[in-house]
Amino acid sequence: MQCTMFILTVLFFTFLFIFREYSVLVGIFLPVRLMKRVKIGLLSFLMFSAGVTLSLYNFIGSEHQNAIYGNETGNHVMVIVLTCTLITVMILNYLKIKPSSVLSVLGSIIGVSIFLEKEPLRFTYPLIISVLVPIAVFALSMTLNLLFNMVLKKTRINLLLLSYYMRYAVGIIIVGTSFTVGFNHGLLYESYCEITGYTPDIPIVIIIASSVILLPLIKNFWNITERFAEGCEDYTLNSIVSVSTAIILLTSLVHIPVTVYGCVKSGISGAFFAKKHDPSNLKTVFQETVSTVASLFFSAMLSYLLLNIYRSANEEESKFINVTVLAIAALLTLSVIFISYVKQQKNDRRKTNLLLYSKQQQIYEHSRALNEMEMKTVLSENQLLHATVELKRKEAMNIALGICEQKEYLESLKKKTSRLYEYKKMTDEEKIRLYDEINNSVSQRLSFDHEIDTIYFSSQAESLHKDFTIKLNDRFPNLTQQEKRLATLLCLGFSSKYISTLMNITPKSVEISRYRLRQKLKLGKGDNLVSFLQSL
Amino acid sequence: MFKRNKISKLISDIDSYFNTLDKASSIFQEGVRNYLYSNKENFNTNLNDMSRTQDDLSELKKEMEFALYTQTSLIRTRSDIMRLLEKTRNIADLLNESLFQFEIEMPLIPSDLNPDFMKLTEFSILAVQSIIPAAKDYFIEPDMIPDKISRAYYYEKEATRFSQNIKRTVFHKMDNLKLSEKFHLRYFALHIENIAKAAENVADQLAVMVTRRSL
Repeated sequence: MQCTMFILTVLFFTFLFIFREYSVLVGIFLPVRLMKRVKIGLLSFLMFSAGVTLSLYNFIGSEHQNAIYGNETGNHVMVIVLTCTLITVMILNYLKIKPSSVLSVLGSIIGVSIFLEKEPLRFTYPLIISVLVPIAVFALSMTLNLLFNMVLKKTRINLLLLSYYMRYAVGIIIVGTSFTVGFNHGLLYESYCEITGYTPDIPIVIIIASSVILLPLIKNFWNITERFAEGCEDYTLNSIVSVSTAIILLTSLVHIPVTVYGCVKSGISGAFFAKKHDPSNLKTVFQETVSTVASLFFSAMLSYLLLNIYRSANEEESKFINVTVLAIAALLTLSVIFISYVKQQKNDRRKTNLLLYSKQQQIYEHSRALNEMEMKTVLSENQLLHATVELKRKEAMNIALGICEQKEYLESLKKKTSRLYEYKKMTDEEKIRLYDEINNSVSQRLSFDHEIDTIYFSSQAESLHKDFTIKLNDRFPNLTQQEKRLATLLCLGFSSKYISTLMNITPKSVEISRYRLRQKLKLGKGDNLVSFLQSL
Repeated sequence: MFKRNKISKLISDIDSYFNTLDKASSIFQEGVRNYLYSNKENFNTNLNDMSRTQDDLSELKKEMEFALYTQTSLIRTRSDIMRLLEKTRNIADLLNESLFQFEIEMPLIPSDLNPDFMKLTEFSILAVQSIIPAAKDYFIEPDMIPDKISRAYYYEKEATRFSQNIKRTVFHKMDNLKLSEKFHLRYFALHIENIAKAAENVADQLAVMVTRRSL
């Protein structure tokens, strides 16, 4: 039972690490395109498994186990460590602090060890080292990058030759990094063995290690890795080598399990800081340090708390609730609440800003639409005014033409009437002919005038009073053409006498037409026809 | 086993490529001189030499392209190097075409213009020859490139100036020439000037490559 429990928890942790942490270990080497990604993954995990196996083999084989974490048996410890890790990862994820799975496990183990040994100060050194790891990787990576570039400049090596050597260097680096990380994380599994009191046999270790190699065949793993690799496309070979070398050195020197994700991110920031001195790189290091501290302390406190609760529940002699336990529980709860509150405030502020921005955009859109409408109105008014001006111009031209024509007619009439001076000398026939000529000319003029008036006037009137004509047609569609013309002339304010001349009818006919029009417009006795028509 | 020889061959191919380009530029300069001073036999020799160098350059370029993709793991610089090779090949093509245009079209160049044409050719070739060491330095000492390419810009300006002088002389002062002859001379001056412009393009490309490598 304990063996099964142990295998399951170890596999679970490894699975968690692979998806959360080791994807960057493979992802950072993908842009190099040294070989196919599956080969890089398999090579990497092969060496990682070898490192873990070697570390556990030393642990199992050695008499003086480098136990720094005490002993305890029982499945409950395994369950508590597993639970605390999961809770820590979930809560920190929720609070948007990217948690380190490795350090969450380590923190849980430390919490259990503090509970068992009652010597918290013994863990000060490992805790401080863990916190300083991201900063150390940053500094080391930056230094190595600068050193590397300096050496390249001094040696004046050809770029192509360098790339050739780099291909093999990167291959060696993949092997070295994976192996040292594996060996480093073997310490974590050692600690886990010690606190659970279960030490696996070598065959079981090898089986677990072999199963790890198959995990890169999972598609989801590559999705995560490719996403990380896309962000690394801009990295030069020098940067990748510097980062990996820094990780190898650190994991070899430090006998504390480190977070791979934090190391890679800090290392990359260091390499970039060496070139550009961009302060955002320092921000990344700070974030990784916060993540380290949060993962370690949160999981340690949680595991300590849970163990205390477990013991209190099991011990029948005393129901006294440890003050320390209460204090830790309160501290944990308060810190979670506080961080949630701060995050919530930030979110609210962000949402408010977004809302404000969208409202401003709306206002801007509305005012733009309004301006467009105003412009359209002004344009259409201008068009109307232009049309009116054009009509007036035509009118003026027609008047001028009319005047010219009148003048010509009068001149011709004058010529004819000037023959009257010789009236006494004319014969009767000549007199009658002259009279007929003058009479015909005047009569012709009279009838042509009406036609001209009708043509010019009607078209003008209808153009100028198009609105009136449309309204009249809409409201009183049963009016005849003559009645409509009469209505237009009345609306224009012409007198009955002038209307009779224009329409070539007698004034009496105009009166009768007006009466009929009133009937059709359904006007009462007191209603003024002209006012009614003008009000349409 | 480790394909070290192939990398060494690639490096030597690149050196040979640029040396052949340098040789082509010298052949062009000599060819123009021989044409201007009516040394027909030497001019024909220059044409044959130019054809051979073009073949060598094409062969070298193909091999280098293949090796760059298969032997190196340069992430970002590979495309830059390919572009550099394209632009330098463009210079070689211009040199070849311009020299053969002399042979095909046989322009009538008045002897008064000989010194001007020689100067124009000289500055254009100097522009080309100043970018060759800069291109070689990209692989070893990229920091030296900005100093070397500044010369290319200077020679290009001088080449443009001389080209304009020739055109001005032809159109303003040489009334005895027909319009078609004037156009012909202008055309040849422009062709030689274009060689300097192509060298300037390569200088621009090198400047960008140095900046990208430093990032």
